[in-house]
Amino acid sequence: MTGKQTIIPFGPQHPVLPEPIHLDLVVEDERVVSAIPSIGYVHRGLESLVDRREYQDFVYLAERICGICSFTHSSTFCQGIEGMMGIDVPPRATYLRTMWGEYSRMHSHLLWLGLFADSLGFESLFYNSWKIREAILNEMEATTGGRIIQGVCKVGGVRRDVTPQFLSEMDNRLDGIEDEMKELTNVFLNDYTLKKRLVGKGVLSKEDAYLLGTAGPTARGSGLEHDIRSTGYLAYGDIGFKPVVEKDGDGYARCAVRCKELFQSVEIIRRVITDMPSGEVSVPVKGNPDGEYFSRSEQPRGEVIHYLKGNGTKYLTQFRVRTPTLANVPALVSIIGGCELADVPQIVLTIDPCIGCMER
Amino acid sequence: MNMEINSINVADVPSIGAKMKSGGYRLVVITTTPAPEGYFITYSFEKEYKLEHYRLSVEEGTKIPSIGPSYGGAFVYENEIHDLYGFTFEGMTLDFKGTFFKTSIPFPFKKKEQPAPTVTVVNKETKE
Repeated sequence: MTGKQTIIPFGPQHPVLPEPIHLDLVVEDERVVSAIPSIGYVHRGLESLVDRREYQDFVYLAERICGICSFTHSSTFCQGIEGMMGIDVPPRATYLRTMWGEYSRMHSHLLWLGLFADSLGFESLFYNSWKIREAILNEMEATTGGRIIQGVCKVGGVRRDVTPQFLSEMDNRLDGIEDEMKELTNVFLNDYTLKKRLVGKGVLSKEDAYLLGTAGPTARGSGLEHDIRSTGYLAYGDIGFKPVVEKDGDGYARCAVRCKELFQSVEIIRRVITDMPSGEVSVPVKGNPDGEYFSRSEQPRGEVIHYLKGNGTKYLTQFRVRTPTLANVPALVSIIGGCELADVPQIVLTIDPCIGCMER
Repeated sequence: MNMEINSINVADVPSIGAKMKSGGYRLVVITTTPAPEGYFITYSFEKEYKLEHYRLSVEEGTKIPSIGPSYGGAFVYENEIHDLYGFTFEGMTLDFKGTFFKTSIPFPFKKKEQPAPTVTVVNKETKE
């Protein structure tokens, strides 16, 4: 070690980054001593629009906070309004929300697996990940009318129902998707090159994960059994849920959590199809929200919080979103310190950063 | 979900942080809300999925001690509140000095003298 420190800028434009984030990497020879993040390149200030759009219309804006976990943003927002107004959503609507939420998780994890493979130059693996993702998006499109932005959630329930016949056909198609995912995850978890780039890289201890407020697969990869689905919101209480947890805290553990959650989502969707209650999918909504509410859900990247405040009019007075990527930034800063410069791009990707979502 | 909120004073912030950390709570989020007079800053902690909230009622320009010594990850919330609302947190673990968020105007979420207009739907007949 020469003891001479240099600052190397990483991002906001970088081949492995689909969205802009900047890191000032303080390096000593080839080792990163510390990393200082900067964000704000795509800050849109969506939260401030809440007092200019009626709360029922704001569902569409909430959905556009993110282009990947869009469905969960709309369902979390609706859940907050429903909690504030004491609306009982019909059971069939909660099951449908659960199903679409799990499809979103699968599409997000497959997207990440593809991007991660691409960052290593493993193009065929990238292609195969996104090929399976297409099948998931087709299911979303067939049931909601939208592939990425569904527009199906509304305060009081959902806008569309799915016929029993279609659910049964969907169940059959899940078999094929599951088989393809088994082949795919086998490569991610056992390939020599991938293991070389993941095992022992970017280690986050369980204690640090807890104290830094880490969320989602990043926390669960460090042995933290934290998943908001365990609280039993939507249909998770009926179905029963146990988080996927890995203990090593490295990039491989975070990748393994996402791979295993793909199959967990398939199982949840199968249970939803089997146990789907009959009845209405929405209830009429009267009145306006008054009070405060913290609405929490488990997005593909972890816990999201929508804080809502109403004053009895059709406009909310305050809306604040805490996305999982923002909660994972301190962990990212922590795990980059001490790593090799060449490992930085892959370590950044292992927290699955969603910058658009983080900046709102 | 659980919305019981405890009121605290500015001077209590470091001791609340230390108490929650020793009690095994994780910091979930720090939220700023414009209040009729000044602002509310709410610290939300969680243990076994149960949220516990502590709320400060502060005037514009109040200097607030950071909870960074207890929760190192608080810097993302504190810098964000500084850049969007203009509050200063003293003793942050990482102080970006106003460069964490790149905003086109300073402190865009600060209370405006004139509130932004709401959207008015204009009927076709009225237009003509």
